[in-house]
Amino acid sequence: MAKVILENIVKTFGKTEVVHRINACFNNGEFVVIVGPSGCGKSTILRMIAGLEEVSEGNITIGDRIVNNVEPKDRQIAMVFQNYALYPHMTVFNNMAYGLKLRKLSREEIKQRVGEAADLLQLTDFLKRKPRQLSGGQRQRVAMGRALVRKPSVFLFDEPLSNLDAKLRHQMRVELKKLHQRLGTTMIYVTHDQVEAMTLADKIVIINDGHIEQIGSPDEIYHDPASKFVAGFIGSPPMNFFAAKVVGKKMIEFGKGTRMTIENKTLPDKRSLVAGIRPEKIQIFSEKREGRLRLEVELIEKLGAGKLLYSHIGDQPIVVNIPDSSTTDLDQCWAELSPDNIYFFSSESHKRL
Amino acid sequence: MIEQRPVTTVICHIVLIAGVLLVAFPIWVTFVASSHTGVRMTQIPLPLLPGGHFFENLVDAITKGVGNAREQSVGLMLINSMIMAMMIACGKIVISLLSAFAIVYFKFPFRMTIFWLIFITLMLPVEVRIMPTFEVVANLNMLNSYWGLTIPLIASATATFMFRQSFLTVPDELLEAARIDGAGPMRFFWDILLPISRTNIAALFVILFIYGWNQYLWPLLITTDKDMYTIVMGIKQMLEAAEESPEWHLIMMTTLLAMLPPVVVVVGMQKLFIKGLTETEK
Repeated sequence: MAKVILENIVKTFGKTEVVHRINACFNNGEFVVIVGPSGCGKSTILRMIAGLEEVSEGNITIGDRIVNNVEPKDRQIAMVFQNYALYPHMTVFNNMAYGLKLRKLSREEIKQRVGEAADLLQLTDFLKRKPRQLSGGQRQRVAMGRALVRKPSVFLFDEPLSNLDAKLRHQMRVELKKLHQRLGTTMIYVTHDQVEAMTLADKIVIINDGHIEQIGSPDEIYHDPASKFVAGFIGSPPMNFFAAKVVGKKMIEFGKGTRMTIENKTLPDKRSLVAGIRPEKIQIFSEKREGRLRLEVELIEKLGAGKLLYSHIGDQPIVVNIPDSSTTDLDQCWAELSPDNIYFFSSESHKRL
Repeated sequence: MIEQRPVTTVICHIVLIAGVLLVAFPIWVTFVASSHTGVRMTQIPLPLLPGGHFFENLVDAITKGVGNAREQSVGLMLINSMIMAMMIACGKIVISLLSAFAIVYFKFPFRMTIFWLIFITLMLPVEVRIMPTFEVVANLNMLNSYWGLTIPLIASATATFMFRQSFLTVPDELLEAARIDGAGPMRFFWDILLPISRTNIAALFVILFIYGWNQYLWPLLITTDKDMYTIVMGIKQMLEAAEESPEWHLIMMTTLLAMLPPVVVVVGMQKLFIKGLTETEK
């Protein structure tokens, strides 16, 4: 078990800087999810922690030592790769035992540790098989087992579930969370999937273009996004954004002349800004009333539980998440955007206002 | 192309059978010739059906030797050929595995230059550099030795290139997983790269063994000692019978024997060979 600290981490490939001065501290036993769109540098950060990629500037601390120049095998980490990276010619047992053999553990110790891990991951029946005889989910578990037997102080996961089908992904996500609760070891998990981030994490780190956009608990990230990027990235379907103008003390205008009074919120001192509201926070009604906006339904997506309604307000597209319980007639409906649920972002820096 | 019209099937078979006959007929003649007496082989027309002296001739050829090379039995020539072919095949594989490993997995200055230098030698056949090579081997006192027979042929650009290509398809994560597991470069090579290149090695071994076995010009140049004769060049020597007419029945028997080891290697390693050339799963 160990703390992981990143101090002023910079990574350059040739002349391009891909990670820009990142600072973060991950506490002992935390489940940290690093999330961001592809190509944002999140995997690079993980690989630097693993020691597979050199740090261009800054320090990485695992436990209480700086590990910049420590070989991966001596960092007390274990890593699970996206494509599992199992040794194709070795049996499941040998795949898990290989690292232990190299560390010259005794035969009994190896057997015991592999046995325990296999038990935990329900792999006992497959120990004699080769990876190619296993299904995707089983291979994934072997990869985890290989990490588990090393008893590392930090687990690193590089998009481990993205090669699985949706159902299996969900199942493995739950298993992973349980595993973390049982072991209590620090885990750092990289993904581009915001659902995995929300469900697994104690702490989410959102990366965009080599910068940290926000670090926080899933609740903080969801309810209190620090920037337009975070607000748009977390949540499904993503938050609706409108370019808006401040036209009065308590009045904003968006689209072509759609005005709205914002009662209990002080409007920022800016002429133009971006307003955002989550699809699930928009309420719809069958009656027209002051302040409600007419919705022309363009498309309905059925999700089973609930529906998604696609429409426009003025010339701005909008998505509304309609719960199952709603009985509103969708041919004739009005949306109410409660000011409490509207977020404002600067139209230049995209930071939250 | 999957077509099932009877006419196509018939034509396909005619072409295939013609091809097989074309390849098999000389071998049949060789076999027939090796089963007659020497006298019968000097009479025209030449026989097309096997005679009854096959085993006699076999024993004769293996123990006594033939023609000008009379003092040199075919048995010894077979052993020489075998040693040469094995040394060339194994040496080529070891050397090209190691050089491909270095080129793919290590970053050193002029890596690509070295790779291209190796690649360029693909274009130069042995015959082009035969004079300087002979000079070097002679100066190193390796004439009439197994080392002289094999060392000039032991580096292989083709094999290096093939292994390089196959190493490039090994996912990087495998190397990284091994690094995290604590395997150094040579450990990785030995424990992971070698086993997953197994089929490639087998396929190359077949090709290189036959290449080594069929060497003709080089052994002809550097062996003057009859004890070092290889079978492929030995057959040529047998034809140079000064006084008498060539002993065709024994020469053909020797030819049959010379064909045998490559056939055994191909048949024995056929499965691995095909796998090595076609398998892509890593």
